[in-house]
Amino acid sequence: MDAPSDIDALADALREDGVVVDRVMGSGEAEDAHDRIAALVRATPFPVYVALVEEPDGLPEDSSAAGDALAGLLNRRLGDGLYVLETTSGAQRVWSYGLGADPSRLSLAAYANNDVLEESIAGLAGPMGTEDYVYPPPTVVAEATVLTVEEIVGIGRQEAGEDYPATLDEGDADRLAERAVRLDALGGWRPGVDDFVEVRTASPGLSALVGGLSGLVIALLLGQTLSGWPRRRTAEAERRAASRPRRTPRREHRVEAPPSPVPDLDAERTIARAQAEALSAALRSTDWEKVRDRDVASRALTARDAVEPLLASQDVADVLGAQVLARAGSRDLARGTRGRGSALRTCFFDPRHPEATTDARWRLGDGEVEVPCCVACATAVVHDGTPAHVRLAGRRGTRAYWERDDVWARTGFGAVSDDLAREVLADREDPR
Amino acid sequence: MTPRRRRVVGWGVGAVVGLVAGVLLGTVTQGWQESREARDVERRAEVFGRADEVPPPGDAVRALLAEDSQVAVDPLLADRLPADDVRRAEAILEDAAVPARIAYLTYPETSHVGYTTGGAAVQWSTGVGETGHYVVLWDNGSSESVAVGLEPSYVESRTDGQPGPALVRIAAEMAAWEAEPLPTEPDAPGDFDYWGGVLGGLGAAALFGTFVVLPLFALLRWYVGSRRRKVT
Repeated sequence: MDAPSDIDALADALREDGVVVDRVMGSGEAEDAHDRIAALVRATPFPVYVALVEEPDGLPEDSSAAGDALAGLLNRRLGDGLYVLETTSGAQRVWSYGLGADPSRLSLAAYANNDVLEESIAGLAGPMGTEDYVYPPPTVVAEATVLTVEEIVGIGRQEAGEDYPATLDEGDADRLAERAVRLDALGGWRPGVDDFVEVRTASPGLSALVGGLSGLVIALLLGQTLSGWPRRRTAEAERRAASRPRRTPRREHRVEAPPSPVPDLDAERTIARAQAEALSAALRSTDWEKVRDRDVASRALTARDAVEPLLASQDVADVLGAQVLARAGSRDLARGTRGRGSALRTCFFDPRHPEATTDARWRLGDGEVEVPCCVACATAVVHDGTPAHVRLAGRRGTRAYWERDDVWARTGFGAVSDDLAREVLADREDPR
Repeated sequence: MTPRRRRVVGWGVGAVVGLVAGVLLGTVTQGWQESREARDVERRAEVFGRADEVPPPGDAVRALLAEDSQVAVDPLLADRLPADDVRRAEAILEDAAVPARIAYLTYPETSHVGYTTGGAAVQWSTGVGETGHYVVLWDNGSSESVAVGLEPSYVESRTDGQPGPALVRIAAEMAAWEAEPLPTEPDAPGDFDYWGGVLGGLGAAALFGTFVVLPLFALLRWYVGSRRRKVT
């Protein structure tokens, strides 16, 4: 029916068959619900009025007070009976007038039936509190109430107690629950939104990017691994290098750089003699009483003893070694006198180079050792692996000095020896 | 093997293996992308072929369907629409090139009313069944447009204010709507390549390699062989 605009119109409509269901409360089947509930009302031995309507004008704003007011106003117009009322702004409740039922007990009995209905709905749709749960439509709740109206009025008439048993039959509850679920599905239906399916197009560019980058990474890592990673010198490597001074560098890797010229014997001898003379002069002028570290300074004496026989040698390696011995002796005498300073540290590749200030990894024989060297040689090792080095005449051209089997090769002209002078003297006494 | 030769061989092998691995990985990546694209195309086709099963309408929509007119008015709202406006709208829609209908219905404010905005429009248009455009003008001034057998158009006219003039405005707009047929097959996937094809991808790889991979590799070498770096 059309929504009555005021209480009088609503009362008039209720006077017809006791039931008014507005479309706004009918869940899509207001007329059917009206007919079903009206049939139940007719079978009830006392007056029952059911109004599921849009809230009439003129009621209090508070929904509870509005319900009470609506029930009272309808009772004044229609007389005694049971009133089942629900408006668009309030929940469904039950009022009784002149039936001798206690309002509270009446309501509790109706709520007990409602609980049974909700349990049946939960069993069909889903547990209460979840998205699947369906709240019973007003028409279904009203039908359940009218279906059990005699029982709940009976409970309302009883003496006060603690037990308010549900009087809604389980079969009726299931039937009403099915209707509630169906009405909810129909009333809440909306067309499915066409999900836009994004097609992730195959990108040859991305494949090329992945392939290119992965190929580059693999090439870099594999190439570097095969050609050798630069190695960090560890403390262990340091110790091994220091403990390997006597290693005879017999077979080193072949150096492909343009061969360095063989040192000129006469020129180197002149230099060696001058350095030996400087050492002798320094020894003569030394006041040994003022020497602070005689152990160090006395190594200059050993150096002088080792140098002198070498100055007349026809082997340019001996002459170069004499230079190293003379310079090392002078350095030891000076630092012994002062009591501080460091020993001469020659470049492994050529003792005539500036003093060693760094190290380079160099393959000797079957292994690699850290050798002291000047900055230029270390740089050359890093970039092309061929520092300028001393080459000596051999039977088949020239060769690196460390390819020979002598004290200079073993000691690297003192670069890998702690006491070159003693090694030279020991070598001289060796009958080999 | 001399250090130089060792380096040449090592880097040569690395380059060849890297090239082969890059081609393989690129091919595998392309294959994986193509299979993913095929799955997406299949899913798009599946969604395209999906159709809603429209449930039977409730009492409100049934009331609309009971009216055999180009303009169907909810009986509960009949007194809100001037008859002249309804006649003018019907006259306009009669002359429309593409069949068009308008319904005037109560907006579903509560969940107990028995229909939704989108649901009622589709239930009504499906119930009518005639190919054409359908617009539901709600009593709160909003509207919902759907179509049967055509691509739906959307109302651009002002629909709020007095419902009578709004009805006429909508009718005038609908009379100009064209019949754009529904697609018979899903949209074909685009061929847009963010990376600009193979050459673009290789160019991007070169850029990433130059500005990301190589610096990282240099950092790794420095970390591994920092001892030698001290020389410089």
